[in-house]
Amino acid sequence: MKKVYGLLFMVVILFAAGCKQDPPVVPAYLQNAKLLGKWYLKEMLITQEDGSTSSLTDFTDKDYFDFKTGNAATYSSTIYGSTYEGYYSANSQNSPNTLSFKSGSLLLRYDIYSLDPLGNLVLDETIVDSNSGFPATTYYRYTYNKTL
Amino acid sequence: MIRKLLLTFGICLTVLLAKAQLGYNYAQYDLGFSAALNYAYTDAETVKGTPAVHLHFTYNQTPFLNHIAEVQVGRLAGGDSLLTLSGRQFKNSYTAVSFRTQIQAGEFLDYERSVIFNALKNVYASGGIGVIYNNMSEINRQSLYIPDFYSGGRNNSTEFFVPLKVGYEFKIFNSYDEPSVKVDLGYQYNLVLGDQIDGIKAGTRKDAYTQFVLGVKFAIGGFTSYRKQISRQ
Repeated sequence: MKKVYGLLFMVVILFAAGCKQDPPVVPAYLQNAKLLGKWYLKEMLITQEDGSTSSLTDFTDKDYFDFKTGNAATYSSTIYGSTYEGYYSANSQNSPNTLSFKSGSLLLRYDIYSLDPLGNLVLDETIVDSNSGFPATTYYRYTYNKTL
Repeated sequence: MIRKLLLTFGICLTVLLAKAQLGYNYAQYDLGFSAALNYAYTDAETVKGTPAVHLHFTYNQTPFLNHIAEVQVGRLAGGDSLLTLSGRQFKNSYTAVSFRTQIQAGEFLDYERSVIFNALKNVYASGGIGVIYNNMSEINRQSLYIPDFYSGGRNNSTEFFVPLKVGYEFKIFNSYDEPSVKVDLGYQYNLVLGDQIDGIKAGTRKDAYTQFVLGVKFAIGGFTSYRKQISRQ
């Protein structure tokens, strides 16, 4: 009788174990719940290498980031003239923390200057232009807000 | 006269006993090989079927209680670097060694008086312990879609696993009514006591792989008798 129980035990274990897989969870250090929601672009501050600055504020409801659960995101820009569906990651292992958005060949990378879910999301971007022969660095600071 | 009668009786008795042993004998040692179709359930998001071959040596404690030493050589694969969010994709050219004890229903069924039980006597379940040597021949760890999403792990590793198998062993009897060839049809679940058969350490669950196995065993020696007839008259 012990053999019968042994056999049954093994069969039960076999089928109870099943064939489950881990869901593809994005690591916690690439997620930030404070980002979730729609952020409208309010201001873009451009600082040239020589220290001169200019500011743009005439943005519309088509200039935004929409961060969703599962690291999905939508980026819309009147400068690019398009809306992109893709994925973001907010990397808390980098210092400062970084925010990246990818949609196909479009890859945007920012340093997070500040993030207040009830206030502003301020992102910094540094672009080095080497096309003219002399590398020229331009600094962009984007200020987003959840109110339209 | 009495001596002649006793001698004749003795010869008759010996022949009768010898006849009675027909169908009780079996080989204690088998050698065989199998082909398997593997499916790995890992941290990769998709599952692929891959081949493996097994070589095994069996010690038959009885015709229905078997101890099996097995070597597996094969591949495990899964994931898709282009079509999945994580981008995880791997090919593992592995070698595994395992020891299993297998018990068949015939060990405890009284199959001599039942056609159904006679058919069921070859149903078996088995369990044991093994070691798998993982070697990633191909691996992709970087997500194409989520920036900075990288899945870490080891390209080479060694892990223990628990093989659990159910199946059916068709016994083919020779002219002496001994099971000389066995055809094995089974399903094996290998619970890996680690998380590296895909080369990726992620999530909370351990890895596992399953196998659909078709094999053949040949009796190679060590003939002895069982307590009841193995074949059914």
